[in-house]
Amino acid sequence: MPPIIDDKKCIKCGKCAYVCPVDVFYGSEEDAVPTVSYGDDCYFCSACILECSVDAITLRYPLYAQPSYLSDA
Amino acid sequence: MTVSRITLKEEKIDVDVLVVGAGAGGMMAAISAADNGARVVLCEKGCARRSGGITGGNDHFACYIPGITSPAYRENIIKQRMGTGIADEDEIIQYVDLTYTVLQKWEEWGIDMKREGRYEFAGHSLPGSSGEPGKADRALHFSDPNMCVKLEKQVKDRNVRIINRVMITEALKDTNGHIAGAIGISTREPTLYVFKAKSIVINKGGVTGSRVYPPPYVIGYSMAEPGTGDGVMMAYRAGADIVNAEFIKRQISLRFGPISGKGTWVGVTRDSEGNPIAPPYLTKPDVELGDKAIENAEAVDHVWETGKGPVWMDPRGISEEDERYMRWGFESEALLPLLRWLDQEKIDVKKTRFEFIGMQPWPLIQARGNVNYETTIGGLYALPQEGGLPRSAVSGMVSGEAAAKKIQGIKTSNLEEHRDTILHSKQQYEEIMNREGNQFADWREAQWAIYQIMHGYALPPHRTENTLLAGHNQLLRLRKLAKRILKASNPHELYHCLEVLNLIDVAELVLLATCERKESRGKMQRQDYPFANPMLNKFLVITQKDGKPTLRWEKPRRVSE
Repeated sequence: MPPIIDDKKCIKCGKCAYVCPVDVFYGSEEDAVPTVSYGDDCYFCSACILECSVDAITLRYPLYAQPSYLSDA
Repeated sequence: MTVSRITLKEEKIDVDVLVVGAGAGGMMAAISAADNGARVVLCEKGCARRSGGITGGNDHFACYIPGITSPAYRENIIKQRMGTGIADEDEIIQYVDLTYTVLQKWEEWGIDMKREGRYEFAGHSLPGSSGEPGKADRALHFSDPNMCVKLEKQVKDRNVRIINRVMITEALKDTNGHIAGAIGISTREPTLYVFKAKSIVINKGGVTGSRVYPPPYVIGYSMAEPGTGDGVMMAYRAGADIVNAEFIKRQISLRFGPISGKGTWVGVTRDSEGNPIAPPYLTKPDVELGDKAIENAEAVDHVWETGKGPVWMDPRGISEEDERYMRWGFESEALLPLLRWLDQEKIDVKKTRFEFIGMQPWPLIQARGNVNYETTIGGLYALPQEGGLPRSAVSGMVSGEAAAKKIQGIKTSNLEEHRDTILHSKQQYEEIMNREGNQFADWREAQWAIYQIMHGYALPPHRTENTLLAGHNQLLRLRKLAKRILKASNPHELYHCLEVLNLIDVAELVLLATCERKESRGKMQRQDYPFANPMLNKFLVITQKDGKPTLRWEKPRRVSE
C-alpha cells in the first residue's frame, strides 16, 4: 500500500514504474498513471520519489510502521 | 475449460563478462571490465538506474585520503574490518588503499562528494579520533541522492548492455570447472535467459537481514527487500567455497519506522533515565561525532535487559543549523519519506526523542575470494559482504578488471553441453508457474516459515546445538514441501518463489555453520559455547559436494607470514 500517486499531478512518464527495485508497479501500462500492483512490497527506498519530476508520489507509512516518539512540545 | 500451459521462451546472450547485480559494486565492475576491453552485460533483478544500497544515495564513505586523513585512521579502518581475526588481511589492506582511487573517479564523474566545496568528515566516530591535519579521521560524510544515476551513465557511456528485470538463478560450469555462463528469468515476461560468458562478477548477491530474520516483534517492513542471497547461493551451487555463514552484523534503527539504520542523527542515545547508553557517552549532541552508540545493538539489548528501556535518540538541544545539517545528510540514504513524515506530523526534532531498537541479525554469508575476488571456481568473481559502500565500490572495480583480463585465451563454451541443466531448471520454473489453486502456496508462506525457524531456533544469543538442529530439521522439511507446492501466477511471483528457495538454502548454511562453530565470537553468540576459542581463528568453509554441504576449516590469509 505505500505508494500513492496523485493522478492530477502525474504526467504518465512511467519513470517510477521503470525504476522501482521490487516492481511495485508491475503490469503498469505505458502512457497511463502507473498501477500499484504490489504496494505491500514497498520498502521505502524512495527511488520513485527521486525519479518523479512533478512530485506526484507520497509513500504512506503503514499503521505498523509508525515511528515511536516522545514530544516535549 | 482448458487453460494453456505457460512455457518460458528462451533468450540467448553471448558476452565476455557477465556482471550479476548493479548497485555501486556491480556498476564499478561493469565500468572496470569495459575499460579493460571486455564486452560486458550488466544484469539486474530490479533496475540498475536505482539499485543496491545507493538507490537513494548514501551518507558515508570511509576512505583513506593520503595527506588528509592520517595513517592512524587507515590502521583503524583495517583493524575494524579484520574484526575478530577471521578475515583475509591482504584483501582488506588492498581495498582500504584503493578507496582514494574510487573517490577520485567519482568526483570525475560528477558525484557530489563535498559539502559547500569542502570534504566533510563527520558522524559515527569517537572523540579524539581526529588526527592532523584538521578533523579528517572520520568517514567522509556526503550527500548525493543521484549517485546511482551518475554511475549508470558511466556504465552506459562504455556501451555496456544493461538488462534490467532479470534475476540470474544458476551459474553454468564447464567440465574443466571454469565458468561457462549462467541462466536467469525475467521478472516481467515468461522468458528464460541463457548467457554464454567467459567470466562472471557477482555483486553482492548476499542476504539482507530482513529476509532471514523478522524485525523485532512486528512485521514492520516489507517482506520483499531484494537481498535474498541469489548471487552467493548461485556460487555455492556451482561449487564455490562459502564462508562467514555463521557471522552476523546488527545495527540499530528507528523503531517501527521503515528505516534501514542509515542516516546521521545529531543527538544522544539515551536510556529512559536519560543516561547515554554506550561509548562515547555523549552528554549533549555533537555534529562532528554523531553518536557512535547508535551502532551498539548490544548496548540497547542491555538497557532493556536491565529494565531501563526504551532507548531514545535525543536530538533535543540542537540548533537550527544542526538540524539543517542533519537533514542534508538524511536527504541521501532514502530518508526523504522520514523527512516528509516529520513535516506532515509537524514534529520538531529539536523537541522530540525517537525510539531506537537493535535490529535483527544480518548474516554475512559470502563466497571466499582471493585479492581479485575470484572464488574457487575459475572465472567466477564475488564481492565481499561487509564494509559498506567503500568495500563494494573497490571490490567491484578490482574484480571487474580481473574478470576482463581473465577472458584472454578463454574459448567460448558450447552451451549445448549444458542443455540438460538448462532444461531441468526451465522445467522447474514452468512447473511453479503452472500450479494453480489453494492446494498450492504463495511465496509469502515460505518467507514466514523461514522467519519462524530462524527467529525460533537460531536467534543469538539464545541458541544451542539442540535448537539449531531442531531448526535444521524443520527447515529441510520446509524445503521439501516448498519445492512441491510453491506457486506463481506470473513472472513477478515466480521471482519471489525462486528468492525464497535461495533463502532456504541460505538458512540451511547459516544453521549448519552456526552449529559447527562451537564458540561465541563477536556477535556470533550461543549459550552452549559462550566463550571464544582461539583454536577456531579460522574460516569455516562450506562447499557443496554431490548436492550436499560439506564443512572444513581454513586459515585466513595474513600479510606478515
